[in-house]
Amino acid sequence: MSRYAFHFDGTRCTACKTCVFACKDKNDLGLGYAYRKVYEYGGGETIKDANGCFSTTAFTYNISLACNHCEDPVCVMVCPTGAMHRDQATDLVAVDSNVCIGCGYCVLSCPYNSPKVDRDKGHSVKCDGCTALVANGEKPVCVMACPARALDFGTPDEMQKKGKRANIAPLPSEGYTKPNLFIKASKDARPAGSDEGTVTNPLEVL
Amino acid sequence: METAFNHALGEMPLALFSTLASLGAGTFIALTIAFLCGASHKLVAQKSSATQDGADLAKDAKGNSDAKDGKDIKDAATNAANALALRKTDFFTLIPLLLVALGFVAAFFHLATPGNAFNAFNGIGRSPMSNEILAGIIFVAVAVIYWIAVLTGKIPDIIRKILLALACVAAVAFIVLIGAAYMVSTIPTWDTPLPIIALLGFGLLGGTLFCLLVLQSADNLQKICSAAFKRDIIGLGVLGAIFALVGVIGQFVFAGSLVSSDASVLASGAMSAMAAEGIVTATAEMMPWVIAFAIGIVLSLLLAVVSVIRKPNQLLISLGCLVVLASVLAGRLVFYALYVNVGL
Amino acid sequence: MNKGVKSDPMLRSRCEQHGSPTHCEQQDTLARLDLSPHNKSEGIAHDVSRRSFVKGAGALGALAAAGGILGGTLPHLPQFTTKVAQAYAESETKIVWNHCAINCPGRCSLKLHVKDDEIVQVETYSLDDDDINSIQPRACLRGRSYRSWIYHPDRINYPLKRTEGTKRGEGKYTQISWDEAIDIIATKLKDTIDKYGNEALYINYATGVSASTGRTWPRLLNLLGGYVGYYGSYSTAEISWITPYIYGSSAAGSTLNAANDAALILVFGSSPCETRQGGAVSNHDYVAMREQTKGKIYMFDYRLSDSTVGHSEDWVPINPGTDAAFVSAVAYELITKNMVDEEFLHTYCQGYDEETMPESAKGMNKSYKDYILGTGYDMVQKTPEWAAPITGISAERIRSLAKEIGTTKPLYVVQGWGSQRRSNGELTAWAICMLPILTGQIGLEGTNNGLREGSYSISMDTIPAGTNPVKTQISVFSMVDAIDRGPEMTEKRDGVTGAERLKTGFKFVVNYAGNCITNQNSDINWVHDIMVDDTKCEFVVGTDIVMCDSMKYCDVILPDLFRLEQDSMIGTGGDGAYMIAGSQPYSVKYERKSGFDQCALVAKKLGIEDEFTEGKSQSEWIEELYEVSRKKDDKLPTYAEAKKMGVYTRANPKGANIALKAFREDPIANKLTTQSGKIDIYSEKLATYIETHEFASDDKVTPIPTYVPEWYGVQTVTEKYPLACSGFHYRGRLHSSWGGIETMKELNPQELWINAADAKPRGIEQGDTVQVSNDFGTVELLAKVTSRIISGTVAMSQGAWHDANMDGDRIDKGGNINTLATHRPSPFAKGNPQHTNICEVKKVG
Repeated sequence: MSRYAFHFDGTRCTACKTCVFACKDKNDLGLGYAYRKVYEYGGGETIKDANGCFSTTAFTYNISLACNHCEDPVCVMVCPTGAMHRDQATDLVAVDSNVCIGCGYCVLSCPYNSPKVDRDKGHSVKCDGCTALVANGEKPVCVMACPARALDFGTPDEMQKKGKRANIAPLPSEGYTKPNLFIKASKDARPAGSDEGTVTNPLEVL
Repeated sequence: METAFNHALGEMPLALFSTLASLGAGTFIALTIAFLCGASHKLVAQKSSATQDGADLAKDAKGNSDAKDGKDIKDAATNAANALALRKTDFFTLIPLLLVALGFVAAFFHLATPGNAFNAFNGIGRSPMSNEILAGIIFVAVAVIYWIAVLTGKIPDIIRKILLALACVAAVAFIVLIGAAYMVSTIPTWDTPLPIIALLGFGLLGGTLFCLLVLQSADNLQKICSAAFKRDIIGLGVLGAIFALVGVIGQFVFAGSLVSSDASVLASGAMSAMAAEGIVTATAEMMPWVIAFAIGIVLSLLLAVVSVIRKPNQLLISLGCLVVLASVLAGRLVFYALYVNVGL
Repeated sequence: MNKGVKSDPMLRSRCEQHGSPTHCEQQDTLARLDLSPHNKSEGIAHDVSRRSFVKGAGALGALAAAGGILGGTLPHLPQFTTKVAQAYAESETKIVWNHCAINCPGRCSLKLHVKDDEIVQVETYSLDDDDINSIQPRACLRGRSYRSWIYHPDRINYPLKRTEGTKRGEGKYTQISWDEAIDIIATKLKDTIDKYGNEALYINYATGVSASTGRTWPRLLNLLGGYVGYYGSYSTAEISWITPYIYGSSAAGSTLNAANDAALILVFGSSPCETRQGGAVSNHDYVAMREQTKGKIYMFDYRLSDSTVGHSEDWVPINPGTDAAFVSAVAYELITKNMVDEEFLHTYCQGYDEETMPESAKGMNKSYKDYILGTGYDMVQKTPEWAAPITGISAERIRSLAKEIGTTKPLYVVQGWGSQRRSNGELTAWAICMLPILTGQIGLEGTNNGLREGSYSISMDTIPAGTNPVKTQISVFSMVDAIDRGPEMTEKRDGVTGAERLKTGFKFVVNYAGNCITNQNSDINWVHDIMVDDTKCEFVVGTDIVMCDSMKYCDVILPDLFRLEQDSMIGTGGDGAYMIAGSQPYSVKYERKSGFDQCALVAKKLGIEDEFTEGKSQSEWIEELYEVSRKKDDKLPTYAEAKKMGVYTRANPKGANIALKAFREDPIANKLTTQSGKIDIYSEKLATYIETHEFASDDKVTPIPTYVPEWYGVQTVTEKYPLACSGFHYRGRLHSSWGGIETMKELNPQELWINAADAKPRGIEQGDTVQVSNDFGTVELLAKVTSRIISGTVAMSQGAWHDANMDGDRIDKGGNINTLATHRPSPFAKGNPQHTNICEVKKVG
């Protein structure tokens, strides 16, 4: 079992994207790249009746996720060069940029929109779980950034106490790659594969 | 708006690679038919007898009173022509090799750091892409060895057949592994044997046409067009067309079936809503392309059949090659347009 | 990753590489400064594997954040390239504490990583603990994006003068020396005072810097004879005007954590998680309260804001501007069904019913009860049936909510500042307070007084401004009016105080660290036309970090430092208090100067340097002021300790602040500073004010909290403009700060929220470009078709950077709501009714 996992508290998150920008700052990411993404998923209707009165079934909730450093990472499995690998010390999944050929196989296969090929750099890029910080006993930058304290990081055992393995929409079922992301779902959350809603902030996700 | 088609265009290098590689490799399968089945033994035997008779003739011409009759002279001329045709056939075998080479060049453009390309062998066994690349390298090696060997003109027929058979096996393995690389569990629209079937189909049908091109360019087609050859090569083409149509249309239909109106199908497959939406828009968009593809495949097959049954025509065969190239490329673009990830 | 569905990164309103078409025009004119932003490339490159993050020590890569490739003439600014680059020698990274200082009470901590005299990363104060109540002033996404701003090519680095022959608003400037700049300013200042008197001087409302030495112009001008001041703020004009009439001066709300003990929590016109996004202010405090309270929450809003995501069941959709109608109907239910706390109302309040009316209004059916029951005022019974079509909440729902409100205790009622920022804002804010008043849920555990949540803070003394010899003041919203027609403005009609009328229009305006000339000001097109006329206002001096829209109306511009680039001190808080002692992280770059130093130079030129500085540098002032604060608050650490720790936190010893607790305990001994000494539901003072002042004929002003429709609102839409248009605060900016930062705009697009019922008939789909128009102007932005907003109302976030060809079609491609907002001031406070708008929306292209 992987040594580390993320926890996301959907009852606390207010979609502020501080986690996204803290990560961008640390990794010097400019336009076009964000290792962490905040998805807004929602549906329902808000309608006005003949008397001008509103009723609503609108629901919206968010998920903040980066790389889930999965138990069965499909990106590692398909990578032809072995560039996508588990870090020895931390089990976190990272790209060895010296080896990567930038073929994009990981990009196609990841079910969480995590890696991207940066053609300027010539290789795949993604969240590496702040491997060096973690190896030094600290938590990733996004976790310590969240003003609403909706993120955490620790052993899967610890994170499992706070939530369930990620299985809510718009994510796919956890069975594909067993993501090491444990979510405390908000009341609005719908199960993976639900068609009750849709991703409502496509412009905000890279 | 980022359409499925735009996404497919973005994958053009890979579409070109899979088109050119499958057609090039498939041509070796068809050439194997031409040399092993059909009337190629006649060609080879004539070549041997041509050499022999030529020497005898020369001897006779020096004043051997037991000179053969006019038929022998005619045979000798035929044999000489056949020998030339064989040499030219071997020369024009460059065409499928070029196709494969161009395919690899296209693949290189897809990589962000082609300089690290040798690292691609690190994943052999684990990574379907590594396996595909290995198979590709093996095929190219065998095909090139075959080509160089036959170009010397000095290898015995049996060796030729063995090398060609090996190239054929390597070609099949290569094509199958190209298709297998797409069978990733998190890409539901691709995770079937259909890409393999489609690519085999492209290889067999496209290979048929390019084999005819090689033979016709070498003035060799009419010569070896025995009934057996016709039967076998048309059979190959028909098989290819069927595989191609099943592979692509089947893929298309299968993708659509993933998104049934029954929400429980979604839930059990547990794709994200984005995935489902993606499939719906992609299938709607690419329908005209599937139709164009199907028409192109049938047209290519017709052109191949006509070229074999009637008097071979360089123009018609070349047209057939272009049509199959375009159709296969269209089929590949449909394939890439149908890409949908199970999740985000 | 899936690309299928309607995502188009290219569909953003940006010029080729930057935020706006006219942005690049500005850059052309600044080109002689050797800034070349057009070589920006995507993605910052460095080799991830070579970077090590060992705590505290140095690492590779002192690369600055997004910015262009800057010319070689600026050697001390690191180059930003996309190639994996330059191996820097291993050098130390030091940590320097400082704070954010933009207009938000967060003022959160910034842990600056400084290497080779540049800031290479911005972290924040955070603890690794599981205690949600620990005080951690974590910076928000804007704080974490500071490097994009600090190193932005739009940064103002030299003093500038408006180029000869160009007009205000064109944005064309020429670099000048500091000597010349100060000379111009000082001369103009002196000349203005000589010619027109001190009442021609005005310091515009601006909130870009918050710190103990942040506001130095008032001090300077007071030493020169003073200036016309303002009252109010763009945040709170209406509510802060009316509050003293209700609860007396210095009335504040309970802290949010008081609601932990509430059984029912009502939130009006507030999005605490979007208006203050730091880790130790409302964003965190509201989340923590929601998690820990046993109470049920209702969020009354016209949209499902980000404060309510994940908790959609809390949302009660209501038409904007109609909170007072809802309250009135609830009051009707409470009164008619005996759910009011009459004992409280008779003991602690004036004006609920005849029994507690003042002499001057007795026997005239002027009580609040008369209004609600229809026996006075408009003679209409404020039944739920009356309120339903106005508010959009069904009568049935109003009744059931009223029952909950009347019977659930403790009741915590809080409003944000959205309800009051309207043409009916004063009375609306007052009306919301009626809910806790009627139910007697004030001053007790788990209650609030209906005002905005209060905070527990650390108080820091600020640089003394001295006494302003000029007593005249105007409403914060009236500057441009005063420039246009100053002497016509009177105390009776236009909100002038301290004088019967203005002596003169403003001739000399200071705009320090603010974007309130145009961008944040209503009716931008009108403001432009007034400001362009330099015979009206003759001189505008501006200081800022970047060339924001308001800077284009300045005649001389001085380059400022970020607060975090200087020594700085701030005290603030939310549920818990904190103080941040900031240190200058690196050397001053280019010719930038602090506001303090700028004013000192002007003072020197005018011969009053010693009076201004008292011989102290800004840093010395900061330390001295701190010592003054420390004398009053002996728990504070020494200055040296404070600088070392950077962030000092303090939990509220009372746990939570309860509004009006002392008053509740003893209303006689702790009487309020209202005229009656009690809570005024009928305000005699306000009645007098109404009698002695002039109001527009369609402003229905009353001395009790009544419902009045907005001038431009859901009840006053027209056929031409059938939709109401409201604004809201947005994570992508802090008002207009960060509004030009590309990476912020990329992930936080400017969108018009529109309900499907309004979008469909207009053929509008998610992501379409739309134009929103009314008589004041037209804006263009992207459509967000969503069920998160009611129909009949559209909304766009405020603060977007105005971007229009002012000599051409004036279509604002930045999507700034103020292009659509009226500049008519609210009736009492003469404040900014920026959410009071109607419009039409159409799809473009």
